[in-house]
Amino acid sequence: MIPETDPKIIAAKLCEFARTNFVAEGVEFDEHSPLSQAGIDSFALVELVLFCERVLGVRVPDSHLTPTNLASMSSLANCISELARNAPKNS
Amino acid sequence: MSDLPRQIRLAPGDYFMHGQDRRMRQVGLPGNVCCAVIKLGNGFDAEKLRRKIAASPIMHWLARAKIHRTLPMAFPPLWRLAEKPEEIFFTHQNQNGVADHPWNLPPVVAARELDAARGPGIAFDVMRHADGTSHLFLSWNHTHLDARGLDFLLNHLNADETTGAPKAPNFISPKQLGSGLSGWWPNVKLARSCKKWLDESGADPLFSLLPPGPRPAACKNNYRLIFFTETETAQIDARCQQFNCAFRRSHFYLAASLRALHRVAVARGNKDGAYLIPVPHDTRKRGANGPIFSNHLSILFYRIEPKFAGSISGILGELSRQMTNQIRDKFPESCMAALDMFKPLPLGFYVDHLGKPTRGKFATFSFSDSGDTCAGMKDFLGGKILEVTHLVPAWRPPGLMIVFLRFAGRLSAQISWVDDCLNRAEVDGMERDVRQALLEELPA
Repeated sequence: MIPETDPKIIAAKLCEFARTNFVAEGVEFDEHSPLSQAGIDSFALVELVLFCERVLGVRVPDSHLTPTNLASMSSLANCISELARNAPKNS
Repeated sequence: MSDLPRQIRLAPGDYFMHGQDRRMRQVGLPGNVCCAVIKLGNGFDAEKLRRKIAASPIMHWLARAKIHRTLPMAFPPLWRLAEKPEEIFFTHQNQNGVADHPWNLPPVVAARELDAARGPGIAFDVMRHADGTSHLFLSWNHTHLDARGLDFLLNHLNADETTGAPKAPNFISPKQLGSGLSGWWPNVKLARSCKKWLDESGADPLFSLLPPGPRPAACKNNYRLIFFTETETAQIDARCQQFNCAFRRSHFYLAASLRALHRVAVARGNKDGAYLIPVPHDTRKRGANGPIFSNHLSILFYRIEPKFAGSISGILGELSRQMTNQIRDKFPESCMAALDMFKPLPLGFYVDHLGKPTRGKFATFSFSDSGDTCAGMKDFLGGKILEVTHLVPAWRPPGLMIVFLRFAGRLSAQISWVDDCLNRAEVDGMERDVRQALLEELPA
């Protein structure tokens, strides 16, 4: 799988996944919504990380799950994009 | 609300909670009955609460719902409405003497009988104090609703006339309507993978708090409440960041609790017994207003070996690894499928089967993080909410339950234990260790 590197596309996919799986219908949520206020907990976080692995082709190590990277889907998308660009080409 | 059905299916978690209720009554405990203790300031209108309860179709439904079974082994049990509603609202005058801590649960509340098979499963006791404050004791059988459901229920009662009544889907999950038989067969494979996983994680040796010997006839639940100030709570949040678990605060609380128990286990001579901890997770979507009724949970099981249990960092590493593996393997779904499949079993068989993969040990202790409780509520029917505590009894087995919750930016923990499983000196030590781990521990 070729990892996705465009942060905008990544952010859109993350938001879509969140809306489908753990954010209730009618709740305002976009790539700039603070994740801490959206009720993202450990369970949802792991689901997000596994989604990144499975669909975006990027493994997000625990060390990258910092408050800065998890501020919003937009900041998480930037982190994933960077990881994707730095990933070995044959992985 | 005329669109509320007269009967619905049990959520998988409901029968599980009913099973725990049976286990507790077998050893003389009063059942799986929790109590939210809410201290309210001057101005709380108890009469208005009584009127709200009387006028709410949701409360009528809750007061009449009980578990009904037509034919065991053939059909799963159902929630069905009793013909007549039973009384669920009671007021008392200052019977517990003092309004401030420490206080004991008033005997009238402690003796409140709430049985899911007989109904009602919920009761409101209001205790008026001489200083104008009140305590609202909201007791509920865990079979009927979980902690988040209780929060929604309080919001429903607190809603003013302009907010409007919640719609039926906010009360009952649409998944509980209909027969549900079509989804039975595909669940078999999922359920088998759950059993295989539990067989492995429940392998001996496991540490258990239960004393050897036959089951006692009469046990007692005890409660210890640990309160943290706003400053201490902020300090604990900062510690979470240091341990890189700002979004996994529950893991930090669980690690602190497990290390405290590990010290008790080591003092008892445990060398290689692993710790098995089932942790429930709320399956409702974030920001949803319901459902209120039933237990909407999935469960993750953690098995922590003693070599990791002595350090917070070691436990956190294992929790993170095991949680990721379980979610990747879809364990929560298979666990719920297994619980759903077992529902047609008569309660005695069901309870027996629940403990089979772990040879009855089931858990070293129970742990739950209720998160923010009464979120967004400052007042309740005219009285400022001063304090909220949940008293959640320990099941036996395992004999120990630790519950964390937050109210108004203040964290609290409740340790409940069955008297033949832990002694007071051990609980004193656990309280010290939990405080130390949360407030002083530094990453390795």
